[in-house]
Amino acid sequence: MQDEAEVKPPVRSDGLQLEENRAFQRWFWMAERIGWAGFAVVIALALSGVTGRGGWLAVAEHRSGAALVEVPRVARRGESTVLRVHFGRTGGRHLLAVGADLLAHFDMLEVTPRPVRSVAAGGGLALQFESAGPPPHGVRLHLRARRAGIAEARIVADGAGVTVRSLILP
Amino acid sequence: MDSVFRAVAVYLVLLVVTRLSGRRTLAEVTVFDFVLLLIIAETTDQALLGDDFSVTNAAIVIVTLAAVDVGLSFVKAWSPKLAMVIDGTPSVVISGGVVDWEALRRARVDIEDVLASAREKHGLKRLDQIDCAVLEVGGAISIIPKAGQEGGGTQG
Repeated sequence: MQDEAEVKPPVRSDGLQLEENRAFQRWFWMAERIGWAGFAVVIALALSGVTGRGGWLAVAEHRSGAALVEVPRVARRGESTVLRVHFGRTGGRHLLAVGADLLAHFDMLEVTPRPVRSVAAGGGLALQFESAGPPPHGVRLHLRARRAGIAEARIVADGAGVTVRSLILP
Repeated sequence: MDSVFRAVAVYLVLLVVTRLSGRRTLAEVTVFDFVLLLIIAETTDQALLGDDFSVTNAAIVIVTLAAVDVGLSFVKAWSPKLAMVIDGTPSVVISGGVVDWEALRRARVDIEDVLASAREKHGLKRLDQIDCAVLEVGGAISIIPKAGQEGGGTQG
């Protein structure tokens, strides 16, 4: 327990009885300005897409054989996001296999267009799509991040595989 | 479990952001400051509750916020240095009639704010009628008039 003398602030030469601690204030004013720079950094990161939901860094593109896979670099837990696959091969059926780890981190809300066949394969999913006309043929997987962490998964598009990573923020 | 983490995280983010925003922000609450507060409250609402709008979740969040606040008050009582970091210390911006321009500039307080406070609280007309002015921890400006200057500010 502190005694009374310790608790009482000192009386200054101008008669004010308060503990100002100018050295601490100078330190804090500096810290405050560093904090403001931190605010600017957070805003810049958010605008660039590092925190998810839009921005030029938000999507990572992976070439997988003739297909192009667009994966969200950063997702937010509980929020929906889209994984796009652009098949480059002409005509016929396209096959897309999604690894188990992706499904462990994301709920699959919807697949556009609807696959003609879907098979549970090794914890993941194998989807088959019809296509017509000249490529590219785009497929969108609407996902919702289920838990925070790093989702690393293998995506195989028309036989060519690529490993994708997505950071899920809490 | 999730609700507790959400509440603690939001509490800490708000504590750091409001502290770093500085006392000046809330020193004189304007209509816009009030609107800003409402927006911040609305923004934190979703982060606190997520998609669970049950009474149970709301109760857990409220209890967690109150518990963290009480816990922090104990920590502040135990460590005066930490209390100083969290709450800050008062800044004397006028001492013995001498204006500390550095303190005013760094705390983002305008001399007009000091004069307004002197007019409102003591009816003082001029700066030279002020003996001391202190920017308090809560953001208010306390004015101590020079001897004989109190009340109406008609003298001098």
